[in-house]
Amino acid sequence: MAILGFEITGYQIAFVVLAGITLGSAALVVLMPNIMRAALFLGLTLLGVAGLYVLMNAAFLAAVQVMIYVGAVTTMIILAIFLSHRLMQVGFAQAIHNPVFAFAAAGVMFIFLFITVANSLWVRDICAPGPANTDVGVHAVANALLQPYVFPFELASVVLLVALVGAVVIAKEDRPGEP
Amino acid sequence: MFIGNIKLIAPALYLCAAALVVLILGVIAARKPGKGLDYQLPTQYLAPALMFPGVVYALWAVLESLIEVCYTVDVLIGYELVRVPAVALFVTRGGHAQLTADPFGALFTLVAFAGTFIVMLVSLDYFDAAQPHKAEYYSLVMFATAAASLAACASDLIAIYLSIELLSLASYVLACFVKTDRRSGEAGLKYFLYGAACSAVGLYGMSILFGVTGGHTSLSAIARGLTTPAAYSGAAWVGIVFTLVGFGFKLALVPFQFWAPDVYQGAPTPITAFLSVVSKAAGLAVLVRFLTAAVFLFPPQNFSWYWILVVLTAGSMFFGNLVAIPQRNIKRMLAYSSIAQIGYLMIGVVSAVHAFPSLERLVPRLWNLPNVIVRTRAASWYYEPWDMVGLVVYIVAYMFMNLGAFAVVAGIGTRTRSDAIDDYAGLMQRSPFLAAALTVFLISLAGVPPTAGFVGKFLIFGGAIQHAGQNHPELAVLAVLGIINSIISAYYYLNVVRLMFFAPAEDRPSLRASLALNAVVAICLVGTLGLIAAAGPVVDFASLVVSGFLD
Repeated sequence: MAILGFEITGYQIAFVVLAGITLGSAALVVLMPNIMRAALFLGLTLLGVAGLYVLMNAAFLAAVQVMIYVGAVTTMIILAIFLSHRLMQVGFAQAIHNPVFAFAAAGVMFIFLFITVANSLWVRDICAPGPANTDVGVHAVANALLQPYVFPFELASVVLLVALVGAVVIAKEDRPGEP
Repeated sequence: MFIGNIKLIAPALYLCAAALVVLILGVIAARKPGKGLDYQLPTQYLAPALMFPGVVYALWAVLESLIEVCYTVDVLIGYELVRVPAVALFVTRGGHAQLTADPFGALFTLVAFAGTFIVMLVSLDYFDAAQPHKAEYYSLVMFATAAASLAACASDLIAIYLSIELLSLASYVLACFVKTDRRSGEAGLKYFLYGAACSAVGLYGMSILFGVTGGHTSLSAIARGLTTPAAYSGAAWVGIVFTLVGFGFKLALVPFQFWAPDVYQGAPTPITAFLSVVSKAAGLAVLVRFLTAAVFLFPPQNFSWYWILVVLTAGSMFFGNLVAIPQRNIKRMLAYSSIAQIGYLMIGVVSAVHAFPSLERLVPRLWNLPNVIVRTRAASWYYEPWDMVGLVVYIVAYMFMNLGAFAVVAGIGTRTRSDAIDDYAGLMQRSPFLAAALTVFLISLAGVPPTAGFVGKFLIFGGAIQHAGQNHPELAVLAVLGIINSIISAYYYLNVVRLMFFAPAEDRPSLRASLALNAVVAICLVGTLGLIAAAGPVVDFASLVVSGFLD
């Protein structure tokens, strides 16, 4: 398909659509005065990122993204909003105290990262002793987690335990005479 | 399932197991406080009792790794035989070295363990027996220490990130542990928000570094990736600088110091002591390993991030010392002073990166020494320059003097219900032992001669001047700035001493210290004053510790 003399593939169209969804809803997350709507748009942003992962041939990562970020994290944020009464009241608005400064800082950061990353040399597999490993499916992830990265994998379980204990300590209401 | 050579992470494993025991027994015991299990096996005594064997084991692990360094292995790299010290690696299947159990890591593990033991004794005095959630408190402290010891040895980006994150998560909860105190809650929330932001930036940097060097997480693989032109690309710069942001937060290095004063003031004092020593030691070990093993393979002054580090070092010293002067709260003052102390330690780091290891020496760290030919007793690995030696000596000295100062502050804070510096007036009459001990610790923090702080500073500044002779004027400048800052810091440290000894006590009752507090202060006093008496052996020991790291 050619538009204005440029050859455009379906891949490019899909990328533009997904990137548009991601960026547009990300902007709405910041701009929405109602925090509940902002949270819902955050879910849409994360879905758009999952779509970009699919485009990059990382289907497993996309599935993880949908399950964890769209499924769990967004749900948790919405739950937290429900649980805190003040936020649910009508008229509670997201406050952006200094929009000009905030947007300027974000813009400068974007331009800086864009220029450095675009102008850099990305080395591919200079250290791997064998042929490059192209298997990025579930098997490869499982092998990586339970063989070379088994130590961080086990460490992550300790991190989760500590987070659980910490959450219990912070959330538990202390009544006198009760430990 | 093959996990790796478990023995190398045994201290951390022991501590995790002990933390679980404390947690489970403590929660069961807390159902009937004061009787039953809680009466026979009080959690607050069980935790230090389990911690002490851990400290002994960590000491033994240091000696064992030192013996290991005395051997060399001949490794075939390409067609060339290279002789390297035998450094024990924790390697998982596939040859990924996750941890390097070298004497350097073992010593930082020991510092973390001993520091935590002291913090636990301070906690005994600070909290009463009816402290709510004491099982959770002590087990979180133990998990955080295990994380610090793993971070000190970690030589893989994922292992580094996870262990630092485990340390941080436990610290966030511990900082807001006193739920009846609003300041404590504020401290926890601030620490959490800033910590999450900085750790996200650090993780982003690590992922860029991972991508730009060819998709490997091991530090030595990243080092090899950075030997290609990738090292000079913008993405590598961004990756390294962002990663340093993550580490800088843990250290409270100057642009990332904003959390420190509020968190130090609000958190319970034993936790403040923990954050200022154990957490910083872990951050410092990670930073040194990251810089020397992964980043600085070339003459470092070619790189702009080296100059960033130099500026941050000077900035930390000046900011910490100048802002500490007007403080009226002693915990806040010690917070700013520890920002300055990190500046002194960073002089050691900045001069140590000039002793960069050659690429060949890093290779066996990656692939589990697959081509070992001969294992022989080494003639001598003795690390001559003072930079890293000073770093190792100073972190030990810093542990004793800073923990000692915080122990006294915690003890006085619980008894007078005040952390204001003005309330230290006339302390000499109210508690001569604590006043004299605090004087020694503050003098040592200022770096005045007969103390441990002097030995550490002498070696660090001397190391910087040693390297400065080889075309590095910035190191000499840093050493001079360090000396100027020591003089500035003496002003506010000695101000407290002046109040304690020469201001009138306003007729207040004398203070009675508990056994635990007296024991802690005595241990720290012996460390602070004894280090200079044993300076010669200590320096020999430290250079042996460092030899396995850099050679």
